[in-house]
Amino acid sequence: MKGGLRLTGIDAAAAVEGLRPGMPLADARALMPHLAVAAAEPEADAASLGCLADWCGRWTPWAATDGADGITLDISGCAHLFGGEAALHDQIADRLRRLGFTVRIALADTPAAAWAWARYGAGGVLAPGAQTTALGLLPVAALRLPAALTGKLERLGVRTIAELAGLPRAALTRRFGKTLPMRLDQAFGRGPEPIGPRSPLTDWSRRRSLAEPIARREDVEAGLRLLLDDLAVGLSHAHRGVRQLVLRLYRVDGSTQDFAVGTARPSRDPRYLCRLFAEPFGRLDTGFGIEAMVLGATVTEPLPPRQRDWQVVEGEPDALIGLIDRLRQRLGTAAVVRPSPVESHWPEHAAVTVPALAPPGRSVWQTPSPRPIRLLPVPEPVEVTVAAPDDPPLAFRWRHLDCRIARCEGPERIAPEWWRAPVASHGREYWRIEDEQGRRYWLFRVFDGPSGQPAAWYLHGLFP
Amino acid sequence: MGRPTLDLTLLRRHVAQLEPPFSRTSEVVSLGDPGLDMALPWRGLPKVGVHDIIGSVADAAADGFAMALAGRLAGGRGRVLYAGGWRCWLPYGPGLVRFGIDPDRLFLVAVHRPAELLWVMEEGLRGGALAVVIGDGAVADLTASRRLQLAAENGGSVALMLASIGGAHSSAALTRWRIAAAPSPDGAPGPRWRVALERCRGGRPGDWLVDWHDEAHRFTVVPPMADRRLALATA
Repeated sequence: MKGGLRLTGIDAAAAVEGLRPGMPLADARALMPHLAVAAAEPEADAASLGCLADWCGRWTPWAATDGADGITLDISGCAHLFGGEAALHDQIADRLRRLGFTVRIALADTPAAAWAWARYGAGGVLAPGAQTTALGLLPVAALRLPAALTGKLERLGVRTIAELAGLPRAALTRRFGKTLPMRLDQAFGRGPEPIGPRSPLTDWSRRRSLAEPIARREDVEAGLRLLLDDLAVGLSHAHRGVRQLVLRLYRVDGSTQDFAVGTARPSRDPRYLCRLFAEPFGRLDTGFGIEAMVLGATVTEPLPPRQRDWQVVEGEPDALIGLIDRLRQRLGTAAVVRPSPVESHWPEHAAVTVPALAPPGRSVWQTPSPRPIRLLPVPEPVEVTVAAPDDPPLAFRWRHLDCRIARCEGPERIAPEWWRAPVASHGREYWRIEDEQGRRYWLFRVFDGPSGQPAAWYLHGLFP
Repeated sequence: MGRPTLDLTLLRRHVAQLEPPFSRTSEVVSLGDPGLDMALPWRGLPKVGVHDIIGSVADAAADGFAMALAGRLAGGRGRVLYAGGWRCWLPYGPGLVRFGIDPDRLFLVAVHRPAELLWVMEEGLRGGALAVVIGDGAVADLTASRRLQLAAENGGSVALMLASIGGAHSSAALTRWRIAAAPSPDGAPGPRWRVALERCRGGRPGDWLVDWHDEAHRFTVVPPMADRRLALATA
């Protein structure tokens, strides 16, 4: 039974003809000569299952994929929003079937029980009282045991879960290891089984199901505005502001689209937050329509209530914060910065950039001699003509540009700061140099470089 | 004889109403030298509008001139936004101290495309949160510079368009300056530039040798005679 193509999945018509997954393709062709076959794409299947699980987030935020063919939803506290458990079950089944999926849905008290009831039971809602009895009738394979273990149990004559549950627990553990009792506990709700949701959960989220699918950008914006208004009320009671928001749109075709925006300062102003979505909405694709929207604040920070008048005195004006946020939205968070002084003699270390709205730095730039207006990120080697090794340079060549030096000031010796990383290995002698046209440069010579070699010269900056 | 004068004043009033607000009401910043101020029709540089500054690639004279203008326009309280990117050399903080630019009030924006740069400038000008927006490498055609001029009038801010080439294209800018490095005088390390006012709306072109004073944060025009003596000395 090696090699050869095998079936990985079949449809209902093929099952009627006696085809089974795992069967060699040649055998299947023998049974059904007109069989239509397509290559299996496990990665694409997994991706599409993931998309579907995201889309199921419209019913509950706790949605996760389960194996290669399942989705687990934790609907604790969600069912009443959709008219109770039975109504929710029917709705999910109806929606997924309309998308063209063949589904078996079970709703039970534990994930393990739901798993078993969906795959080995009748499906549907398992009433709380009936659970133990119903599960007891299922084969032991419904406990999600390794195949070897299932086979062993069947050889021993243990066929149903009820028979297994009747056996003494200590003996089971001794004989079959810890997996078996753990699976039993999970099935009957005696052991924990957490579900890892696909998307991070937030304390702050608002959802809106729409009676009719919407497709126009204005309608989406109106819906977003309502969600933001709703969110702002909750946030203002809790004295919190939003730093990051994620809007997820649920399309009718079973896919989702996410939009994330960030703010430089916590905010809960719906008008302002709504404007931030203008830029990401450029890639809005409503497809055949959007039927639900979920807005989650993924990062929030304390934001005490303020009086309007304070804003002028304290902090940056709203116009500036709004501008910075718009720029960051389009260009990226790292694109908008502010220079900040660092007390360092080493030119590369003296200026760092900090986020645009970081609190003002405490130190100021104090330089012993003027500094260039532009510093090259990496010093560029130049060819220098000198009369004697320690003399000031006479001419240099930088980027195929010959400069005859008219005047020169220096040297200014700067030693590397060994206590700062990254450590430069050699000290530098800086010269301020002016060529005959009056262009001013900042050159340096490595002064304690390897002996026996001519000193290397670099151009490091341009003076105004 | 009274009637034509009456018509003329009426017409003047009409024209004044039609003109954009900056030419009548906007504040003006002195450049520090009366000779420069008087050469401009506004008797200084208005705090609203677009200015082109053209320099060369090989030196930073135009950068220095733009920063000096920005320092004077922003004063102690205004904010400056510098947008640029493909030269990869953002302004170096310690070198800006001499232009009176407070690092806490300077924002640096890295952009990757010319269209993005114009967008950043327009956003920055319109909001009114900034005093000066410097666009490094910004080349705006007539339409784009008109847009920027309108945005600047909306927000009450100044745009400095810093370019290493240009001048041939038409622009709606109020002024166009061409800056070149000039040999500095003996004993004074401050920047000295050859400043040419090539175009000026409502004014006349001019050409000066200008010093920047690091402590006073102001320009001074070097008298032509002094320049000649220096030229002879250095030749």
